[in-house]
Amino acid sequence: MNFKRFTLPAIVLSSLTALVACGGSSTSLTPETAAIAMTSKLSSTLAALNLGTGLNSGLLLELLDSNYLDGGANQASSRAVVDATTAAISTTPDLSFFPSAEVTNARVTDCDSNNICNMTATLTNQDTEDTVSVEFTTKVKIMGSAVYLYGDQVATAPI
Amino acid sequence: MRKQFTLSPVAIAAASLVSLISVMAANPVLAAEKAKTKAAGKYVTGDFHNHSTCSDGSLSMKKLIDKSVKTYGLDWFVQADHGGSSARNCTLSEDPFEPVVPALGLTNNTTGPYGASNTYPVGGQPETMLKGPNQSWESTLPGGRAAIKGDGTATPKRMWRWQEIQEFQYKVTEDESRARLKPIWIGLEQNAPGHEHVSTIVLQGQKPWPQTGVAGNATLQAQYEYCFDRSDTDTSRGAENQWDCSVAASPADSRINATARKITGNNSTATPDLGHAKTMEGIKWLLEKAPTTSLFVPAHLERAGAYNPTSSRGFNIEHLRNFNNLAPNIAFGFESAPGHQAADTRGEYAPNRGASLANPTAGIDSVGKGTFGGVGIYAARIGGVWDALLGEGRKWWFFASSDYHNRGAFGADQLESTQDFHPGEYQKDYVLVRKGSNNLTAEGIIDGLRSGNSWVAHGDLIDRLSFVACAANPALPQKVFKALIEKAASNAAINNAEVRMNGCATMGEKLVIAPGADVVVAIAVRDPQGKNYSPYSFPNPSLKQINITQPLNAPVLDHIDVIGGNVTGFVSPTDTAKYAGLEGSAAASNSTAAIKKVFNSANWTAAADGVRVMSYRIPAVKVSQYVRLRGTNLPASTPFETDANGNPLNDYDLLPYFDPSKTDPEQPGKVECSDAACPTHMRTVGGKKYSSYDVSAWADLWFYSNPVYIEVTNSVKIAGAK
Repeated sequence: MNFKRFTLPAIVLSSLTALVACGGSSTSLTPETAAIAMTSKLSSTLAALNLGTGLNSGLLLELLDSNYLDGGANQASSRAVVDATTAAISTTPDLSFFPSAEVTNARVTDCDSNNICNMTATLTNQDTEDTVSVEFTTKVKIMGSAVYLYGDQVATAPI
Repeated sequence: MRKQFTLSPVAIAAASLVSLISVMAANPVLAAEKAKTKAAGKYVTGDFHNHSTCSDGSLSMKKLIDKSVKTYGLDWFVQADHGGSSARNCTLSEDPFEPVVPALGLTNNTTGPYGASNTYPVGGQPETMLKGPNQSWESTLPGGRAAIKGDGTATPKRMWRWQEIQEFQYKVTEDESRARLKPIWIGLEQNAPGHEHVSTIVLQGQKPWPQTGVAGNATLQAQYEYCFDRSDTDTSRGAENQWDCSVAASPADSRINATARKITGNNSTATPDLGHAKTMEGIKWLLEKAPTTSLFVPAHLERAGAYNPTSSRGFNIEHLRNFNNLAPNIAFGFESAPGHQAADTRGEYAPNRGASLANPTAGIDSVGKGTFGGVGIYAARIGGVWDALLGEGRKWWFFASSDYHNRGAFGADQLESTQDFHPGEYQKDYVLVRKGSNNLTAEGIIDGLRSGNSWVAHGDLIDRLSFVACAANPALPQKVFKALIEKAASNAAINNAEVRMNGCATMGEKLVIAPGADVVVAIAVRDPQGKNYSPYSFPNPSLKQINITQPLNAPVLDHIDVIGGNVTGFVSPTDTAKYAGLEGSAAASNSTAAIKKVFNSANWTAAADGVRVMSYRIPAVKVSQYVRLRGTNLPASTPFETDANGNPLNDYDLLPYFDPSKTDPEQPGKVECSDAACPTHMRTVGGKKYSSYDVSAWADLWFYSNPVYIEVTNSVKIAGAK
């Protein structure tokens, strides 16, 4: 089976946690619940993009804010990359997909008046026993009961 | 309008479940799971091209192996003498085996035995001592002359290399391997018909460590020598072996001599290109006899000049293409980083090579008329032969060898050299071997060499490298993805391993992506913090020109160039204008190759342990391409060493040299060696001591990686990598 060993517990755990945290209603997210939601959403999207069968650019609609901008990439350009990869699956048996990772230890802090916040989390790849783990900080945007990646809002690609 | 992902528990659970089920129920997509198919591996160091007195070397088998795997610590070693014949018995060890502790300033003694300050003279222990590997086979074999098989009338009788390998050298090699617990086996530096030299290995039958029990044999390696070495003119068919050199792929070959049962001709005016054809037959033979345990790697291929259909000179690009087309899993690279790095003309590459005062213009120009930072022009020139081959998407990898014969004016245990460096002393091949928890094996090493997951360094400029290209994940902000991939590269370098992550490819592999995807290239190297094997601690004379004070034995990596080029597919042999040509021709060039990025202390992250980590993003990749690395201790625009773009300049032009065609043949060098500690053997012209021999080699250090290919699905398929 080629499903990542971390994905099943991560998704189920985060789903259950979300269930408890939100009490079954569609209320506005707090930083704490936003961290939980983004952990689940980002982990499952990363897992899906790492497998040909899970590729679907629609996932990025749920993950990236409509104003997402990051080193020149926006929601549409990011979706286009996924779409092009999806289109290549049937003709390219040796197609490489996107490196994946599990998100853990997320914390959302420093929200501004537009509900744009910093999220700090740990990203861990366990494709093999050579575990790779890094802590990162990025911008997220809370919109009501949803949270999205917001990007660095830089319009140019890094050199 | 975007549909919002809410935190409704139902939505979360449903989304998670759908995602989970869809992924779990799916058929595995193997390409995405590539990382799991790769067993864990480590980079190990070795060398496959060095000589003993069984050809034109100066050491016994045992001492050569001892220098390689003990003194200089190589993890694996292949002993490979020339084909042909030799009068000397390389299986006899020097006496004493280690006369003195290696040190600077030891004096030569022409006779021995040796006092505390002396060592063996040039050429090793004198035959007149009636000890050691310079004694003849005829005088040392119990059966004397009668025990030496095959044709020959000289006195003492010379032994054909096939007999040396089969009956004598192999046993020493296997014994040494099993006693030292390292893979050590035997190969052959083939005097290739129609060309100069090729490093070859036929492992089949050999049983080096970790194999135990029944002894192996090198019969197939010996037969290859008999059949396909141009200097082996024996017609005995290997005496009782009664070998037949015909290959099934060339039935009823009328070129085969009826008595010798091999092609006995070579390139000549009467038979142009016959030698090259015979070399091709040899590769077919390797394909038949040892398709997965042999290799064929042209050595110092620019040294003897361009190919000549009527003699045995070098290799043009069409010959490399011919070899690779015929057997891509056997002929998969070249030693464009030659041995003889301490010679008066580095690598023994020069213009008018072979000329003398008696025949001042009789020489041949090495292709490029010199090495460039110790590397032949075929690999050193960006956009040259190597880039042309990579631009076809070929499996064609870069290797180095020490090609040890002797230390010129110095003995084997002295640390100075005016000719060669011992294996492991100066340049090494680092190859990734996937052994998991098992022992390192010769088969695994050959698999590693074939994979292209390898790199080369001079003078321990770096001793760790992780180099990977990954499909940028559009679900992650760029800085986040960069951090992940850089961390993966850093971990790999620290662990002397590769990055094993789905969606990433390393050296010798290809990343297959859809058009428009970004690719992140990450590099981690370790600049070792100790000293290398240079015996000199005075300041590097080349760097001194630009006011950098850096001990020769403690080099510092200055920068790394990322070199890239487009892949346009294999050239058809029928398209002669694109397939065949000299260095510099369209056929031997890739105009798209260029330096894509330069990393140095300003834009890499440096750790205290010497690890340097860096990455860059190739945006919206549209065409198939490759990236490779080189690095050096010399900044761009170091006079006489590097140009403004950091490209290495011709080493021959820097060194003092002897030009017999000039009225005053002794020509000065360009870089003075003025430090009080500059050794006395530096070439001195007009009262000035110039950086030369080993000092100039230690001053000018490089590393080269093999490429990572990036294949774009609607662009050219890359056939040479998986």
